Amino acid sequence: MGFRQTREWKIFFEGFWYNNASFRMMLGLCSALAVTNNLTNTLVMSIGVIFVTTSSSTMISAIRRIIPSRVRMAVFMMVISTFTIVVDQYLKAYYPAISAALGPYVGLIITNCIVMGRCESFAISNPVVPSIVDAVGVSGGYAFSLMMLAAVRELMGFGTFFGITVLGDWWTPWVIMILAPGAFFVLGLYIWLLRSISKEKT
Amino acid sequence: MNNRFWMIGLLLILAVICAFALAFINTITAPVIAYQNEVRYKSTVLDVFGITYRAGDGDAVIDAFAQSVDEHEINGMPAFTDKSSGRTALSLSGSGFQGEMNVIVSLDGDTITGFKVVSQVETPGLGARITEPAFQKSFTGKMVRNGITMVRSGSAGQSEFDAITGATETSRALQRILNRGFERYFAAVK
Repeated sequence: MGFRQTREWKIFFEGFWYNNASFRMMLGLCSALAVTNNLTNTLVMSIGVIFVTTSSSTMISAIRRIIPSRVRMAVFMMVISTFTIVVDQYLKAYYPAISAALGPYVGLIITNCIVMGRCESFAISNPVVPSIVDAVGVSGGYAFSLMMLAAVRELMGFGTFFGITVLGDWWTPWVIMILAPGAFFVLGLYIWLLRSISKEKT
Repeated sequence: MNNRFWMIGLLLILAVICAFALAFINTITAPVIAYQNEVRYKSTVLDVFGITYRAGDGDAVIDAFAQSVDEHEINGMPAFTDKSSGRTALSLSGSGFQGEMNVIVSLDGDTITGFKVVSQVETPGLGARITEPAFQKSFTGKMVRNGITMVRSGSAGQSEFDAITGATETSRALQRILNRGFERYFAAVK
């Protein structure tokens, strides 16, 4: 039996690919539009989201039996905001340049629907290990799609890749790619491409 | 009934735990954050004066600053004097297109000798291009006794600077911030 048959792999792949947050479920788009004009920032943002999603899901899953269902949202919010502030403070202290470039978007991880979505739809009703796998899968899928967006936008908008100039002086940067509408165009193209490949009827 | 108490109880316990966790993180990171901000600010002042220091070393920046720069105030604006050349630099703040920006500009008489952006939150790729070295260097040598004006096309003259294409509002905000500062400065030193 290969690892593809395990329950963990199925949960992971379900979140990472079949229910990919940005390309399939259309979730977390606000930050996907805002931070993806540059690969370095996107990478840091992605790591932040993976960290917050995974730690919140773990925490919620661990205490799921003692959370009264009427106050579960309040509990989610407290746990999520604590972890988000930890990420924000950490970046401000040790990566000031990236923190300045990301501006308010690190703090806005609190409002990312993926984080609370995982707590509400998975962690609250599942044991710790599957919850961790699920959180890593979904936030990893989110990170992956963000990087795909950022790669196109940075290349066409700045002519660079991770800040290294790839396209020479002959390339006229497409300003639209740096602005939020550029993210919509690239996102739309990816969704078209992926749905065509998987030949899926929705 | 029991459940209602537990609801409040759990929220309370959780709030206390979270508050302690955050307070703990804050005590660790607050001094580091303050230090980073100080290094960024002071290294910008040194850059504007053209004073060299070991890059990437925060303590070296602070030492160099303490050795060669005097901090004071001119007409209510934070100002600096380069001890060796006697030049003055002003720290000017105001609202840009998206939010607060802070720039440092050094003067020799009427002439700008250095200009740098300390912090800004303008649109990446457009307004944020005010942080590009080429744009910042373009201010050197401008005569600003009667203010500075941005030009949208053609080459910039003695008291003009080239606006950034696609970022007219940011350029205009910068012009406003600079002119307000220069006016107060020249009124004070006349």
